[in-house]
Amino acid sequence: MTAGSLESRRPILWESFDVGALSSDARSVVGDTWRERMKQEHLAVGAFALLVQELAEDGCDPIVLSLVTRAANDEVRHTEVCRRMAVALLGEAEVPARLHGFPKVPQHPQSSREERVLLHVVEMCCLSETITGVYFTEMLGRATQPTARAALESLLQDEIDHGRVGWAYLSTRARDSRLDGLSAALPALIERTVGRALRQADRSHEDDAAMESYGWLGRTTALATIRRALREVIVPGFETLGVSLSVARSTIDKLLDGAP
Amino acid sequence: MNPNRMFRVIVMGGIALVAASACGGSVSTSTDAGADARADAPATLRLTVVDASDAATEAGVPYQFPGET
Repeated sequence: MTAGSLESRRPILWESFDVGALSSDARSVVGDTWRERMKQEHLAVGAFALLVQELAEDGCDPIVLSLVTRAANDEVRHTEVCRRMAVALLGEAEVPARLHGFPKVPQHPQSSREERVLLHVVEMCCLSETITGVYFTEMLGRATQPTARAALESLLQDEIDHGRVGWAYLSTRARDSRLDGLSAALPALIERTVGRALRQADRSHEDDAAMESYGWLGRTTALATIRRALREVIVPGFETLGVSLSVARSTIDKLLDGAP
Repeated sequence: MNPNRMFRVIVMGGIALVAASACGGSVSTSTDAGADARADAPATLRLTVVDASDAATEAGVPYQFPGET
């Protein structure tokens, strides 16, 4: 398989990618985030592959199985897009050509098989991928460099679907009254996704318009964006589908109002 | 960014996907700018060809990337 076959369906003009507008320090900061994102995208390949197995075993609507199966492949392509962004900013020698590894997926040992797949889909799609969709949308709204914008668009068009499939699946579980175990597990799921994202954002450099133009969010905007995703997308999503947030409310309030 | 729009695009768009599939629609997904061209589509669920962009339109918000015309 050639590198070209991993390219986005949206063309990305790598040849014209000019990073000269950034200082050396700024290139290092922005490049580090793309290199880290490369790792996260690679780990998502394994996470979605696991979801495919669990959903196929437990059963789900065909559209859900189709989208989750496609998502594993999307993440392979995303890894390559992020790698090329990191290489452009940091240099070939600073970025691994390929990665190996599998995410540490919570096993939920006290849960049944059907509960476990629900918790995995909610954590991966309704929480993590939904945050990513909102985060990338904010990032794209601030990016001006054409190649960086094209790279972000190629990721975002898939991330939106990766979030959607979680809500699609959750809607079928709500329809079938099969939400057992979710409400009690939500505090841990939210802390592990939203809490971790907030802590990571809190370690970022402060906002910088030049760096934002290359696909990057600074600390203040990143924290606000993650909290907005929780408050105005995720929480209303659970409420719309009748998922009780009574147990998770204090966790949500702490993440929205408190320190990361 | 309009967060209500993101709720409709991601959450309601996902829920609409299942509804479209259950109606026997042929479902494919795309969030290309083509969604905008369908902004004036009838506010009834399409039963023949439905994609994620249509689903977002059904939810009231066609998806369009920031800065995309």
